Amino acid sequence: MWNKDRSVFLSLCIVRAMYGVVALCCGAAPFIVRYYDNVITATGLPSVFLPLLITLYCVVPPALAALVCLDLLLRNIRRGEPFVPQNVKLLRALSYCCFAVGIVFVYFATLRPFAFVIVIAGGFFGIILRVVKNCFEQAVALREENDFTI
Amino acid sequence: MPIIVNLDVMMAKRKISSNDLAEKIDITPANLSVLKTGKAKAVRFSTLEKLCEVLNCQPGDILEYRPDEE
Repeated sequence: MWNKDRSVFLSLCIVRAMYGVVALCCGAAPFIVRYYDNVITATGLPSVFLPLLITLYCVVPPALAALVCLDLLLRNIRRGEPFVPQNVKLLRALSYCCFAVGIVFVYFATLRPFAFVIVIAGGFFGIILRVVKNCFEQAVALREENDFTI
Repeated sequence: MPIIVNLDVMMAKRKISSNDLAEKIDITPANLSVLKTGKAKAVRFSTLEKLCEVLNCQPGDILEYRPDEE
């Protein structure tokens, strides 16, 4: 039977699996980018091998930071502590990670305009997470008020 | 906070211990401590009613408004 605990556990498993995916992508990035570059240059467009490779490696630190934040957030939720100040900080850090990914892709987007989708998506997710962070901040304040109502 | 809880003063006047009061008003000693130390953010009317009943006093004897000094 599906329940809330299993849902959190599944999310945690996906986050842990994503560590492996990121590590795999780091190793395979030069080959994937080379393949993409070969396809692109065959159509007559200039090569973007190095800018794309550098962009992808620059995205790794915020991606890993985001995964660590998600991991800690899910662990707190699993422990039954969703509305604690630490989660507000984690959500804030997550939003910064999204903004960072968006910013990193700005240069590449000037070479390949389709990458603006990633810039906009990064900014959009960052804003959504900031709103969620604001909600959590209010929830933490309400919980504290409730805890200190005698 | 400009609301001061003078519970310890009333308790001393009535010569009642924290544990006894907590038991009589049916709250935990930890919660009574929160109330006594002024850490509480709010007091339920039901708690205030029991406090007044047990300590035989008025809400104003327990709570006091003192504006913050700038």
